[in-house]
Amino acid sequence: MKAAAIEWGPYLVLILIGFLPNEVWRVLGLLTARGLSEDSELVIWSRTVATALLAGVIAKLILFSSGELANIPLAVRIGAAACAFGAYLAIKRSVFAGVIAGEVALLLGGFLFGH
Amino acid sequence: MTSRVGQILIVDDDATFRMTTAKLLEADGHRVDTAANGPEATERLKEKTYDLLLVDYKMPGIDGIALVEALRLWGHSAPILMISGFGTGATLFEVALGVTLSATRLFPMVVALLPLLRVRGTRVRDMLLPTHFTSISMWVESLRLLPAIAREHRIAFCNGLSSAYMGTAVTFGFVGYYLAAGLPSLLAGVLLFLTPMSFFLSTVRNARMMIDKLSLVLGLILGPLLFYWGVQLDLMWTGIIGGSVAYAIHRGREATQ
Repeated sequence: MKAAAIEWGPYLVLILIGFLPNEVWRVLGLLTARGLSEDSELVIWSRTVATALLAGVIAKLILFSSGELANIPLAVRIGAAACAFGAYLAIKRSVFAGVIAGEVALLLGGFLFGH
Repeated sequence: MTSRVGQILIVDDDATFRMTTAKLLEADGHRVDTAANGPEATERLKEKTYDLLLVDYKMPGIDGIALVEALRLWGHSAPILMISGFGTGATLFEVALGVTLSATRLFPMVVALLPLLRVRGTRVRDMLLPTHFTSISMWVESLRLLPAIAREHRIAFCNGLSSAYMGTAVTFGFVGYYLAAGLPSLLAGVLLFLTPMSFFLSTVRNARMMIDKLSLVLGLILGPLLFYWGVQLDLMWTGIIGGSVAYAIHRGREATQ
């Protein structure tokens, strides 16, 4: 019994803290969305909440970076994001062009202003 | 057991635990650094990379869960071992609860996506896979591409898109794992910048209507602000406040028109 608990313990932990916490929200979402049309008010509100939340994640990744990205100065990171946005607007709203521009700007900025 | 020697970081507010564990690990030949809290740990992580992090999940201020969440979000690939008063049922449950609170974003994402996939006769079980597959990339791209796809093909489209994303993520995860150690610091930083940049621009591209643009801008401002102010569950509140304000402004404009 004890050996089995030790052997299966990690998998149980994986399910309990890796799988279930995410799945709960997904299933709740599934149940809530049942029968709702895509232009119902709750669905529109959910989209605005999800969009704002996602934007928050993105801004935090850029402003409060960690790991190797944190070694590049904050001003360079913000500047690179601005370059990416500018290139995106200038080059036919191409995400690919924008990302490349942002990456090049970050590389140059990091190279010139230390990292 | 291999006898590899590693660089280990212990994050725990209990000084006795830090010292004794460090001594034990050092006796095995590992190089050990310690941090008493989240901010100290972040400082250490800026200085060097670690092969393993031992993180106490229950700490004053930024707790272990918040720290791990931040590290994962920021692309730290070092294995993290959560430690606590040696895992009674109650503490494991508390960890599960902590992770649950940090995963709330999935709820509005699923609610906003699923109605786009439904046709007459769609059963709940047909929705299970796209529900489980919902991720940031899949969600953003589905909202953009689905209107151009025939309704009856949309579930299959989402499942295919997600499988492709996951396959790519796993492949590059492996490549990155072996590449990261040998990469100069600046290039590693440039690589880590790919995620926020592609999320940023694809979300900007999706924000065609005023209501979406408003949500995006409010989220970009509120997210870092609430985090900076040390608000608990900062991202959840960013979503609820930013999203609701954008929604209210949209309704207000509709009413006056």
